[in-house]
Amino acid sequence: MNKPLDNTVALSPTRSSVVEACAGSGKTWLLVSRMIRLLLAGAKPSELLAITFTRKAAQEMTDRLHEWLRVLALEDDTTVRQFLRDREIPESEIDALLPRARGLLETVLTSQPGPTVTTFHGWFLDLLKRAPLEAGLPWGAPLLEREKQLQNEGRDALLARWAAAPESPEGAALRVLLTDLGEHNLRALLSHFMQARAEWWAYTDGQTDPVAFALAQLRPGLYEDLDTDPVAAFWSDDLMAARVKRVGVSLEKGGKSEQARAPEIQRSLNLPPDDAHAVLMKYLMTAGQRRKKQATKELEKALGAELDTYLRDLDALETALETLTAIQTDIRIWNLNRHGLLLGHALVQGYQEAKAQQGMIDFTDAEWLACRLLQSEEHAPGLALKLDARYRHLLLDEFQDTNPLQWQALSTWLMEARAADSAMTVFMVGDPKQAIYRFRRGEARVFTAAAEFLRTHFDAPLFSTTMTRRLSPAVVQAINPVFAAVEGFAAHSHAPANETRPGALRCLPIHVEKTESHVTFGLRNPLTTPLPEAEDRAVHVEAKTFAEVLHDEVLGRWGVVDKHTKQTRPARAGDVMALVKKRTHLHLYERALEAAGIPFITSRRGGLLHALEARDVISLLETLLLPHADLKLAHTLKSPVFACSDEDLLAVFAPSPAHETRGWKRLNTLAGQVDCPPTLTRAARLLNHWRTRIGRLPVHDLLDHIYFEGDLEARYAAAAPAAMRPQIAANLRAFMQLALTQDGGRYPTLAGFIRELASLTDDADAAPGEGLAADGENAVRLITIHGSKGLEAPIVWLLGGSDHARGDSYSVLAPWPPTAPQPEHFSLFGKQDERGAWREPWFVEEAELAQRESDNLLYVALTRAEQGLIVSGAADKSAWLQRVDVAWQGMELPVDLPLAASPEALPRVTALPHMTAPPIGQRLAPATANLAAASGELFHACLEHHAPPSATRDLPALATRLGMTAELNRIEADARALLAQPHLARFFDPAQYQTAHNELALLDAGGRMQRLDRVVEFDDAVWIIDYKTGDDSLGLPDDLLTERHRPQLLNYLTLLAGLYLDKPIHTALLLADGRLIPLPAQ
Amino acid sequence: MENPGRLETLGGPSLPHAVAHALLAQYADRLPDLSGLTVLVPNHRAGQDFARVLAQTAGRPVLIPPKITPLKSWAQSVAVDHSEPQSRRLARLHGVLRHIDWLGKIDRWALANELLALADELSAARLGGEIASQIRALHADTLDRETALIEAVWQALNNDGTDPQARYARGLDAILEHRTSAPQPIVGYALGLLTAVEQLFLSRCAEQAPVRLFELGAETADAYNFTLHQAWRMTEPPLRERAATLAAHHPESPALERMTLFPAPHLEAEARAVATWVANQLQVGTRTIALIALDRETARRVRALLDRMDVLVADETGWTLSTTAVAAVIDRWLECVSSDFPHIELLDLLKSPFLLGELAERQDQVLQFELALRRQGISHGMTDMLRLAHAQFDELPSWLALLFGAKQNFAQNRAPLTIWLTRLNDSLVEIQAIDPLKADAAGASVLDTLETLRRDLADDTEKYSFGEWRRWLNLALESASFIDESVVSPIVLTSLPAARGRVFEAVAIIGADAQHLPARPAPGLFSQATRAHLGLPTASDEVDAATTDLMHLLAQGPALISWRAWNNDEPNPASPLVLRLQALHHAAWGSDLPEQASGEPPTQPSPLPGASAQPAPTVFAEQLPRRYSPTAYQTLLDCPYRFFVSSVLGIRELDEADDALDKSDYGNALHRILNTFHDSAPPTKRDAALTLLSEISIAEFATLPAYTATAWHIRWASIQPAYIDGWLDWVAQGWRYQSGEAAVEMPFNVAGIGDITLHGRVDRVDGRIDQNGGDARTVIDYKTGAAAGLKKKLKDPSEAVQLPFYAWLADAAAAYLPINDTPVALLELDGETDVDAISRRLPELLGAIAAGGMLEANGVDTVCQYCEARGLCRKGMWHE
Ligand code: SF4
Repeated sequence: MNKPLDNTVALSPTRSSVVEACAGSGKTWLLVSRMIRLLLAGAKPSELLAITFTRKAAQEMTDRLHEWLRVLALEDDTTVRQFLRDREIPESEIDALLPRARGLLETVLTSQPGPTVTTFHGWFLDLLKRAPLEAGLPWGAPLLEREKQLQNEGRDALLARWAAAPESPEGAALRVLLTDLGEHNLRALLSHFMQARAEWWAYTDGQTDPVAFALAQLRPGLYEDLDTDPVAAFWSDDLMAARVKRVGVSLEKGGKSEQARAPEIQRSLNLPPDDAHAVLMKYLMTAGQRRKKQATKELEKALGAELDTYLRDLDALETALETLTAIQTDIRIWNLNRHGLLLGHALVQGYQEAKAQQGMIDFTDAEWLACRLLQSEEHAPGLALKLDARYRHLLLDEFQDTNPLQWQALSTWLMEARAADSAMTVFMVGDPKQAIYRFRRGEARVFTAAAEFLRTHFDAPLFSTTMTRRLSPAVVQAINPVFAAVEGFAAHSHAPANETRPGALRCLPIHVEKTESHVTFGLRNPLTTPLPEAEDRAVHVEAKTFAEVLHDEVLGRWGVVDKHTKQTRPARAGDVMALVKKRTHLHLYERALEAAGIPFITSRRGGLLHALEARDVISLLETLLLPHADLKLAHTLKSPVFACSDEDLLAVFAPSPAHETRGWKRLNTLAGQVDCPPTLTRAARLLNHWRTRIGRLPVHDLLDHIYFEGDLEARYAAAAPAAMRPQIAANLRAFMQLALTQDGGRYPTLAGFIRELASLTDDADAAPGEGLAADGENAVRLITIHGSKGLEAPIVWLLGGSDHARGDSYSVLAPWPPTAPQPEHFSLFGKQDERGAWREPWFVEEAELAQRESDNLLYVALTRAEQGLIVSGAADKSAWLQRVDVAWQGMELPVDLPLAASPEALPRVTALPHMTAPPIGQRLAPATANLAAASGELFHACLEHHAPPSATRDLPALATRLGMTAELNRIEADARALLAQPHLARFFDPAQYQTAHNELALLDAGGRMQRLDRVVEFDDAVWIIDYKTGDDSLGLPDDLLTERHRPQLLNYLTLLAGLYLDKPIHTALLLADGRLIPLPAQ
Repeated sequence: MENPGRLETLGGPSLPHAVAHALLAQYADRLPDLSGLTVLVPNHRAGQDFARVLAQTAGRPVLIPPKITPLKSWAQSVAVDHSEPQSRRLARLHGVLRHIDWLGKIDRWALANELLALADELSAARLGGEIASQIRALHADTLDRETALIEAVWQALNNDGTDPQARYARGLDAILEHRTSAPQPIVGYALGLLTAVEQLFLSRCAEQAPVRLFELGAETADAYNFTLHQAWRMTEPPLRERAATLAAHHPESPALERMTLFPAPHLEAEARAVATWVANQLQVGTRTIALIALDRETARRVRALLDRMDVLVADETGWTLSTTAVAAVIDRWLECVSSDFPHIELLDLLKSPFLLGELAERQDQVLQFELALRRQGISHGMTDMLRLAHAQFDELPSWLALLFGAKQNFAQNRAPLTIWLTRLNDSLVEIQAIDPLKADAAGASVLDTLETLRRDLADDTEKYSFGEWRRWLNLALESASFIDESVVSPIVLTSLPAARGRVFEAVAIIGADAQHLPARPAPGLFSQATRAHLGLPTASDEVDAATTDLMHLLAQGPALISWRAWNNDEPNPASPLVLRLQALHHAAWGSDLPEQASGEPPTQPSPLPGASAQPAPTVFAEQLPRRYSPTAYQTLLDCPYRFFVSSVLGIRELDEADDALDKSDYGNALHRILNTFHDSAPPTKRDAALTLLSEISIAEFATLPAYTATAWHIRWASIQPAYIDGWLDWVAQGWRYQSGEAAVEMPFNVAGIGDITLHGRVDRVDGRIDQNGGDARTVIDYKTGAAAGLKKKLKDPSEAVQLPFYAWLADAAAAYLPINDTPVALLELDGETDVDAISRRLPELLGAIAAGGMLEANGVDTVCQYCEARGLCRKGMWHE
């Protein structure tokens, strides 16, 4: 029913379509081509809304769009015509479209707003920001980045509260669950509930008592009577007891094993019911089931005619016990749900309140609220008014990872939009084979449902493509049989352009001999003989093989096609992408690479913060805060920052008769002595110096001092092996950047920073990744399959280790059909074998979906490889490995890429010149508040205020600022008194002069603004009066004051001379007490 | 924009110079007295720059300058009345919003803040009274809530003329009135977006006397300006045509010499490129340089790198008060007050130089106190801490006494904001924080801000709880900023709007990516379309303004435009302006703009260390400890270097005070319980024994936090019957308890070292008289780990030496007793084990070490994984 991809339709700007596109088939090409076609057809940039799965993909799409628009704007006509032709524009229209095509770059770059290219989450957050009132959110509520942290804090607080109130419903529920499940499983259950909170909200939407509602839905599916104890009921039934007795008696006559069981069964009749039940389950039934064989030959013979009675009794008992087990299971399910839902719901509410307190929201809130908003009849119309863009063309990428909630929102919105605007188009791309986000509630079946919806309402055809541009022919050939049996898989083909591109495939099953632990010859001497590395587990051997094969056979030998030059060159570390399903064993692979000297980047939890160099710096910072912490101090001393030797450590820490102290104190003592090793002297000096900066410098600035004064980068480069240097340098940089980001936060302190790092290290979601080495990515990337989404590499190694999927337990069952408005069921489940009969169909369905997802993961992993693909894993345990091994049997696939002609000359890293610059700028000593100066300033202002032509000054305000409110009245009175002094009248009485200026501003030739306190112009002269109103001047003699102020006064003189060419100019100082000191003419 | 006066454009390298020329030419007859004129500038610093340019252009010894002022300051200088302080308005607004129920859980303070800004905008646009009807006319009832809010705000705040915009308008009116008697010309430039109020004012001025407003034009004479203009101001004719015309007029790109770009692979690279560029500029004698901090993080990094060369940067952008170290002190203090001294906040405080007198004097005591807190696991609470302090020190240290006293005096009942601020201030006085804070520039600024708020809010009587007040305080500290004026430098770090109209010799635009240039407007109450309809400035206006500002800056001299082209492994698109310029440049001259080269930042060179290698130290006999536990022995077997660290150097990890109780605590608790149980001669009747064990357990757990107590109790309760059963079985075999927690030791003489002691503490020793009448003993070691692991250990006792070592020390049989699972049964050490040989290996090894044996770091991965000494041995960084 899927049609082969027809680009004339798929790219047509007036039609909607859906494309199911296999890995490497060029989805981005399609999407961006379509955007260009839409723009060419006259769509406004703001009418485009493209939604993809990751921010990275969105950014790449934007980048590609810009790149192509640049081609359209800049290249010659032939190239542009071909570009348009390639995108299926009819030949007849090309000429007419050419001018528009050429202008598109500027059209897009100048439009306000431009096209929206975002993720679902990005889009949701944007919607919420624009409609916070409707969503009930704080203004621009920031996104909570550390969900886990807040959840854990909230959980611990609630657990404590419940435990302290054992009488409360929650307290009682807690005790029951702790008893039934144990702490570990209870935590798992609660955390799974937390993860399923959106489902919970959707399921109980509109219910006043969600827990009661959910329980009411669950109850009818369980056994009717859950209150009577089924075991007691069984034993109080005389009929049953009689049967037990008869069966026991009969068995005595049977074979050996039957004879052995007989007394046990008879004994049960005298036991208390629970013990009796346990005995029956053990000796009558086996492993909870009825026995395969009801009777041995001997027994049949011995019973003769009584056999029938025996068999009837037995069957009745077995049936009863089965029912009993089922009831017990239902009771457990009921209790688990009764108590679990109560606590789970309370937990989620607590978390919601904690966020509200902080005015934050998380991703789940954003999704839930935005979806509700889009579906809300009340708010949806207003929302349109709040958006700056009116979307008319929707482009959806990676749609297979959408979840039902998102689809609910989107489909409602699409229906509305379609009704309002019939020209609306939708273009959807995805690949159900690559749906791998079930753990984030992605639901591959949504793709099919959406395709159907778009066909019905948007007349969108469904295309599919199986030609991959990424994989070389050999890889395509190898992949097809692996998936041949998967439903809906169609064989892939390679792009013609890749026809001659070589490929290499290896399947490496790892076998381990199950040897008894290594034979020891006598007692090992640890000083001379290290323990052999454990190789008892396949994953250890695999890790070693991984590093060895890369080192000996692949790197520098295999020839791969360079992405940019398209030439073949020897493989580099950066060409290899190693994939794991889970992070469990990453550290083992890391160790192996480390040992082989192969640089790598890892996506291990807290990648950056686990790196030794990052630990060093953290240790250093901790030492600054708490130098008495010996381990941190010793660590810091031995790091390349100080590179102390073990002898140095002995000097600082080892017991020594010469020193009473040790550690930090002794280090300082030693540093004061002449014969102290220079390494220790340096360490003590720098550590003490940096310690004085804590609390005064922001963390980043402190770190910069450390890097600078500690010569950090050079020292690490000197200490580390060459292959690791780029990565170490990158990590040191990344650490610095982390400090910068942290400093931007509220109320930073060094201790706070370190605490933040500590909690980040354990937080898988938020932990910072390692720094990317500067020279591109020349390191093996060691990542999860989920993290590899959208990536590709010349060589891919799928590491299996002995990871195998274990079914979940103590979790949530919430099946949500793709088109349903909410989950059709919601309940908790415990152990694998305690799921009950009623829910079985859902569990089966879940299991199928999980299997599907596992296939998809394998597909995603294998299709990252352009040329080389290596799959390894435990021969006996790894299902994937076995599957690949079987599929490749007898195929004679090439195992090596052709050797590269010449080993690549490493580009010489030319040391950059050091930057140098002449010093510039200066630091001012902090102004010290000075009472005399303040009163002088106020006095001065009073003069300015009162001397004619008075300039209004806000004296009270000034007084407040100077902290002199109390003195204002006195000072003002003094100032007025001064002005009234008779001997000054000629300067202050307007009748006695021509004009006067207060605060005369003059610009000198250098552009400096000079302010003259008072300039008085007479018929025959001009006077400059300079106020010296501070109390400090009062006691000084005239000549000292004139001497001190002469340069300033002379400067004034010169300035005024430029204005009053024909009058003599005089200057004088005026003191607060009215003393007038004229500057003697020179 | 409506043209209020005459909008003119001027060319030339810099607008201020051009304006100065025009001014001097027009008013040559007035020289040297230009005092009647007014020159409107965008900001004060631009005013200073203009004055300088004017004087230089005039070339006279002295000028009486025109009035050079930003319009705002001018209006302020004539205004007579005061406007209501923003903080008071905010509080009033909050008072109104507090009572609007349908707002639900929305944080009223944040909303009030947002609405206040909008109200001012409306007021500036001379909108207000009629706003509601306008919105309704536009959108019928769809924006009902928004409309209602705006109306409420308007009513509460803006209709009595006390708002700042109204006051501004009155100031402008006053100027007009004043001018009518003697109207004088006005000249202005680079004024940016003018509000309706301002436009009206200028038009009215223009009716009285000439008003000339200048903007930078695209004079064809200046090829560089013209190029920028073509790139950023034009979209017609098509790019390639514009480029062709450009190239025809200017065969050489005028930008090549002036501008470099730097698309950086990461933050550090960008910072280094910018610093290198600045260094180069300084080398060739450039002095005044603007660093436009579009990306604050990179800009800070640049500043730090320049600092290393003593190239100081005056930071005009300022810090939000809440990000200062000083605000952190206040935050920690309030946390201590409200949550009874959480140890983390308390320690932060104690290590701060801003309170409690001289830091150096208490430093040692504080460290001592911290270690004690950690060891005792005290996570908060004044009572516990007091107890600890009394035990630790002869007398209560003054620093602690002051803090505790201040907390006691801090009243916490509901009160108006001012009272809260007074309480805060009083407590800061008590903890001696005021003077140190005042001495710190940022600290003084925080105190000032608090003091101003306290004054401004004096007559606000709404009462708030501690929590509400703190939220308000956070917001207040968030919205005020501190500008560090301690650095004077011609190199300034500033923002695009703040650089408007100023004069620089060179400029670097830092962070010119699509995120920051132009800045994206934060979504507000209204969409851009609605804003446009209402006559409020829109995003497009802002973009235009930003472009103008940028062109002003670039016109003046050499420029660097940098951005992070990659951000966390994601491509990060450049600013559209950059993309447009690049495209035009390429189209015109077939080449790209040059890329900035980078340099290494300076460091203080040190003698470099050698290559890192696998350590294998040797030690002298005297450095070896005298006592050895099984743990020390095991460590020596696992990895000699780890032994070196833990036993020879004697280095241990410190506990964290707030670490959650964990597995090992559970183990310790069970050890104590069982020890008490067996010590108390328990009855051998099952029920009685169980009761006793249960009572002891309950008592032991009772001291724990509620949840841990419950969880552990329930867990252990499920094991207890099995434990008793196992024990009774054991008793039935004749075994009797002899001792618990018993120390065992064995003196030993090792050649080269002398006397040492081998010792251990065994959980339990049981004994019986065996069939032959012999005296048999078993040492029992309780384990809370999984039985499987223990069984594995028993298989190779020469590598897992704890049990054989105990057996040897106590001269007894030995067994593990796993107590984490049912049934509870002993796992016994194989009786054939040569415990003597195993145990004597330790002194032999010690002898070898004393004789120069090397303590190599040779642990296997499983050991290294949890080894605390990895930072010391540095495995992973060794050369092969
Ligand atoms: S990390 Fe490994 S090698 Fe290093 S000291 Fe610890 S155990 Fe030994």
